[in-house]
Amino acid sequence: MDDPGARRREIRDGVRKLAAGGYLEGAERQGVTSDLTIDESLILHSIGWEPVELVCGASTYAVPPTLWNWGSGEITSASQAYQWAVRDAGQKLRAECLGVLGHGVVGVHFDVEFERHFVNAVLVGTAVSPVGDHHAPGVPFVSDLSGRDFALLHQAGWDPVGLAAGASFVYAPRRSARDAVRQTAQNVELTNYTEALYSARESAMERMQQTASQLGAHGVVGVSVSEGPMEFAAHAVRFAAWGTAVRRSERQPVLAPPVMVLDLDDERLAFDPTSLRAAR
Amino acid sequence: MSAGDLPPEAAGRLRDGAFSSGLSVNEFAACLHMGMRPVALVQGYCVMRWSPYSTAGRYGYAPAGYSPTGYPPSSGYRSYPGAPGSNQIGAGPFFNPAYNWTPPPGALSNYRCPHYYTGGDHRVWGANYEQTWLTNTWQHGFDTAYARMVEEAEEAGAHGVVGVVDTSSLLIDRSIREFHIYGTAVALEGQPVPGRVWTSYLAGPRLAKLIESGFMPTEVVAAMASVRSWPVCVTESLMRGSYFNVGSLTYDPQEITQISDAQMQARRLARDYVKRRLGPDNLHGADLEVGVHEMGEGNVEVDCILRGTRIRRVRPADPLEPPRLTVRVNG
Repeated sequence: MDDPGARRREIRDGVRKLAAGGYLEGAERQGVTSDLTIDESLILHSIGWEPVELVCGASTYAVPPTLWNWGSGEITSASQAYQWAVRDAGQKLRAECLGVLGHGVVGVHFDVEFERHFVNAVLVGTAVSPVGDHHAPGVPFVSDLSGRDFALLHQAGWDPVGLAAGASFVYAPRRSARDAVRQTAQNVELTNYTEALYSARESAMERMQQTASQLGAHGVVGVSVSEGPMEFAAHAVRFAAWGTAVRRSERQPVLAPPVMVLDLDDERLAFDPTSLRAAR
Repeated sequence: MSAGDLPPEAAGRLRDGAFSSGLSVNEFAACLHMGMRPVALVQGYCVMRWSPYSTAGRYGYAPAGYSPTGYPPSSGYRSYPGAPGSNQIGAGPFFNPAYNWTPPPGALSNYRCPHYYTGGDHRVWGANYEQTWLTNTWQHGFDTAYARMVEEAEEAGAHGVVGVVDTSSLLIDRSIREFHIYGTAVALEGQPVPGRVWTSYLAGPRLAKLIESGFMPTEVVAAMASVRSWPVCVTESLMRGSYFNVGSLTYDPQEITQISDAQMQARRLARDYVKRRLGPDNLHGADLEVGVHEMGEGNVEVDCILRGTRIRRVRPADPLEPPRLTVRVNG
């Protein structure tokens, strides 16, 4: 709507209706909560989907007693605790989604806190469903893609099926006393850490891909990784990878080839929507 | 100070003189484009104090074991009325009073010790409960500051308040907080002043898009929930990293159900409280703020604040065209 006059009329009309307390639609139902931006809501609506409810899933797992600074190979119990916490949080998120008749959850915030004795996974996102479809699906999907990315994926003929995550915790064994003494005044590669990180990466990526395969997905998009040492363990490293598992759907892709656009605006003067403070 | 007694200086300032606004130039331009005229930067404040004994968590500095509910009392997990083993301090081996236990009233969820042997300091029960005395105080602070902001907007002859920002910051010490809510009051030219001022976290182009898509903001809403976990023996041991007291025969990772539940309960309660304020309207752009305060192994407080803009559909939905892809070739 480029006509400022029409926009003003619309606002005046809206204010009048608000003052009258009138509800145009939905007066018979409970309100909907959503953490999507207005852009995400609009783009979802353009492909026939709408937000249903803000949903969450949380799971805390105990990490069995471990000698964090002495050992070699993978710290299997820590890797399992991470995987299971994310898995259970995902199941609870799905259960909440089903409870509000959502067909899936988009924009999931993946928040995993790892401590010496426990790992806490919290997933929060907005359940969505096709407009007017109040039938619960068999298994709702879970995705950390934004509303925009979900719409693009949908148009391209792909569906998200779930969150795929993998993690691995690996010891970086201590050097021998002889190596430690010999390398004291040298600039050298610490092969124990290099190898530990390699090993953790490989295991975590493999587990993520395995999870995706178990979900019946063809691949994982938007993979994020988190890696590095832990405060409480100088001789162990962690690597975690997660993303949205996607599957090709039977729908035909409806995306037209992209249109090339040449902006005539000076970059420095172009409107930057991220500069707005009240982003909610 | 209560709602309805605006300082005379503020009333004079709002009626006369140049306008003030918290809008960026982008937002200001968008407001003018929509026919909204900024009239004043309006604000509301409220300073609230929680009793120092209200909690050991985020809002107070009571001893970690203290609970205003009366259970569990500082003397331990066995001595509230009806508690398991209340007459059997240090119940002997192979006797666990938790098996004939009536859970304490008002808890969100209860947990029972699964062991055959319990010693004198063994936590034979646990509970998650809501700290309503924290929640109510927070809500009173927010609502009062909000009402004062709206009062200023009404005084300024505004139709709505856009670009609302709310903060709650520590003042002097942990049990005292200042709630500060402010935004830019706007008026629509040539329109009678409505009975009720609408408010919105959104401003500028985002507000314009919301209105174009058939919604009007009605008010900003926020709610808080606080859940405290009094750990049962299993929770305490697992959070401490000790499997020896749990009685588990394996060293597989175990879910700490009580803490998982507390995390879920706080978020769900905050959502339920916001929904109570929504009626049939929708909550747009929800923002979930969570603070976890650990006072001991499993002795955890989960505070959750959910806020967003309550919006109402005033025009039938008019979906956009499916998106077209563009590629910028600016280099």
